[in-house]
Amino acid sequence: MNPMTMNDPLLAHDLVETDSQHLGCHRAAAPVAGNGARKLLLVGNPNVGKSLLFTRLTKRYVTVSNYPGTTVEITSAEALFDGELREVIDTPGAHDLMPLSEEERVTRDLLLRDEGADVVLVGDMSNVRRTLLLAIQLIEYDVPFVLCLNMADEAREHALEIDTGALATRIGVRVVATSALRRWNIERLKREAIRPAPGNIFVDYGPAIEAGIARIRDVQRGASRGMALSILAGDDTFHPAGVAALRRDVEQQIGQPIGYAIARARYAAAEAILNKEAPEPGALRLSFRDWIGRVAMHRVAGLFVVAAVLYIAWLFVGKLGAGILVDFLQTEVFERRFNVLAIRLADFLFRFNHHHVIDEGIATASYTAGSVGGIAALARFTHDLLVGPYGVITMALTYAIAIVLPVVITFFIFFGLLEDSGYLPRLAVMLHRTFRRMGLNGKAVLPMVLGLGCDTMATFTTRILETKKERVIVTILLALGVPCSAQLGVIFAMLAPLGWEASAIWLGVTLSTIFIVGFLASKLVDGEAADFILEIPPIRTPKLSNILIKVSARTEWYLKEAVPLFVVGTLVLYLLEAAHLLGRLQSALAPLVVGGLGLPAEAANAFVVGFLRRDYGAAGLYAMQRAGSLSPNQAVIALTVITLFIPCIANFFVIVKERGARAGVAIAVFILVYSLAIGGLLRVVLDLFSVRLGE
Amino acid sequence: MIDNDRRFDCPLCGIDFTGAACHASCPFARGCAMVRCPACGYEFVEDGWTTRVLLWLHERKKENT
Repeated sequence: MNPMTMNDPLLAHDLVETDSQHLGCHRAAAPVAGNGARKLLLVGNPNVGKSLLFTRLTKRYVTVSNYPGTTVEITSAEALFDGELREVIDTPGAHDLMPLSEEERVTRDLLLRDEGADVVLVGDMSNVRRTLLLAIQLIEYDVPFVLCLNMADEAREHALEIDTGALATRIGVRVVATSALRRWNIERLKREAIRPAPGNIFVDYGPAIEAGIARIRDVQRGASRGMALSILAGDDTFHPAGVAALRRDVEQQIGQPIGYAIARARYAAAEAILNKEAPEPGALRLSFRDWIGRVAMHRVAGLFVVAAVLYIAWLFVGKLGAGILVDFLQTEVFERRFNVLAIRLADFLFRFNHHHVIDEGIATASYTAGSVGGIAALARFTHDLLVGPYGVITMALTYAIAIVLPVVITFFIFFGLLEDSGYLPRLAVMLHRTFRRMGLNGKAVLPMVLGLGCDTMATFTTRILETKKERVIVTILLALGVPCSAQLGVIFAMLAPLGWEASAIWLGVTLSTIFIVGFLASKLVDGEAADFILEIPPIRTPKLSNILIKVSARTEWYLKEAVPLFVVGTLVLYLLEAAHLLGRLQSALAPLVVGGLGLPAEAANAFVVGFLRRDYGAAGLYAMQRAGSLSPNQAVIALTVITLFIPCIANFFVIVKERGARAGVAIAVFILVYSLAIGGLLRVVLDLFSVRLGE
Repeated sequence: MIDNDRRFDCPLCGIDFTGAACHASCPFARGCAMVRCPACGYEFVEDGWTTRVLLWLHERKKENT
């Protein structure tokens, strides 16, 4: 039995006809699947488990297609409901049936077009109020439905009990409590879902709005009460004619925006329904997780949560990843075994007169050699390419796998825990006020948090920000102050042995940069910041299986991405060295690197390859630190510079693409000068106050 | 390459969506395993052959229990 798809010619024809003629005033006859299956729509707010419920209700063969004329994807599949076949359609999550997004419009259109379709309104049992707001709108749109209160398992954990029988009587529709996660009551939902009812909630909006509803329904014959309310509130998707004057008139009478008045009335109606069902105050038990979730969003207390999170990250990544795992991999696996084998094999294959430097009885990449010419020179070239001081094996693979990989894996584990716990959106909410002062909003935090994944992609996601002002500011901040995930892991690894003072200095300089530059940029760039709306999921205990899957995927991704670039970076250094240009490059950069920043000349190598890949640059500095070539003060200065440093080459290309070549070059030059200046200033301040870190 | 029929759950905003694509403008787009949430723009990696193997093992375990 083949599921009907939205691309079926018959279906598409019906939808096009409907779209052009009857969308506003009539619910067109429901297009049916080629096999006669009636539709069943799952509608509801985002984050109520609708899609998991869809999975539980349907069979395996799922069709995904674009809603005509949009980029919104619709998932559909068939299932039996009490012996009757239905085509189940998972609609996009919607906060309101007066659409503010393309997804909400698609959901509303699906409801209006498919007259005769069964509708299941899916809600979160822990937040019935929000679901009732949608239920009221469905009733006003004359859409019969069944109410499914999902996530009953979480409600039970919070000791929330809803008398579904009483609620069903109150609102006039069947109510089924389910848990899609635990597979509770799925079969019961299947029996009830095909028995929708029109509902009996009536909301009185006051004489002015009620008169407005009546006038619209006189003009648009057949318009439902819900449609009239939407039109009155400003919804032009129904293409109403001549309502501007009516809207002005009603607003003048009520003294506030119509949409606001409607929302308040609906909210009051939902409250009235719930007050008859809600548990007594004090009976609501706030779990520890709920309490943590609230604290994490608090403007002041949330900062302590951030500090605690950073501290745990510093311990986990810095001590476990960098301290124990890197020590083992770099020393025991690579330096004592793998590199030694590689050197011996290379010596055997590519012979020329040389002796490797022996350190603690182990052959290293460094060696002494006599004059080499002819074929031996070629052998030496190939030998050095693989196992020389800038060899693919002795440097690129050692950096990528022995030094960076364990750090990155521990970082991915930690970040995966943060994601699955539900903390990240709370971080966005908590930082919202601070970002408002920069002319941004919490939503701007999202791409900045993304920068922890990849600044390149994060720059793309500045597209989700609604104003040009925000997009420009965040692009600059991303390139300037937010390290990507692998780099951040290495930074934690370098900070761990330096003590909390070094970490505080690095964090203070980085955050100050973000806030100061962001604040100044917001003053310079014209425009307004947009509103901030974000769904907050409950705080959850992360599942280890999910973490394992995330970490394996990210580690695989990292190896595929990083290793080739580490090899390329090493080749660049090797060729520069072979051409005797590396020394000249270091000499050319010495006034900046040595004179300005107070770092060893070889640190220039790290900054050069840092443009290719930021974590490679950080890895180079880390290797210097482990070899004892960087003092703690120098390590902090180097870390600060590499954090604020010019964006990597991929990020630079994307900035040029998103903001234009001139803006891209201007941003890169500004960042380069700024990062070096801040590094130099930090050195001066540390010397001025005779600060000796790590003592 | 991302399996565009696979359903993903955004770790940040929680919505689930099907398929994703790395922007072709990125110089490293070919073979990029990054998935981007269409709602909030959050980027994450949850694809790769190791992931598919682990998911397959996980599904088999669930079916057998």
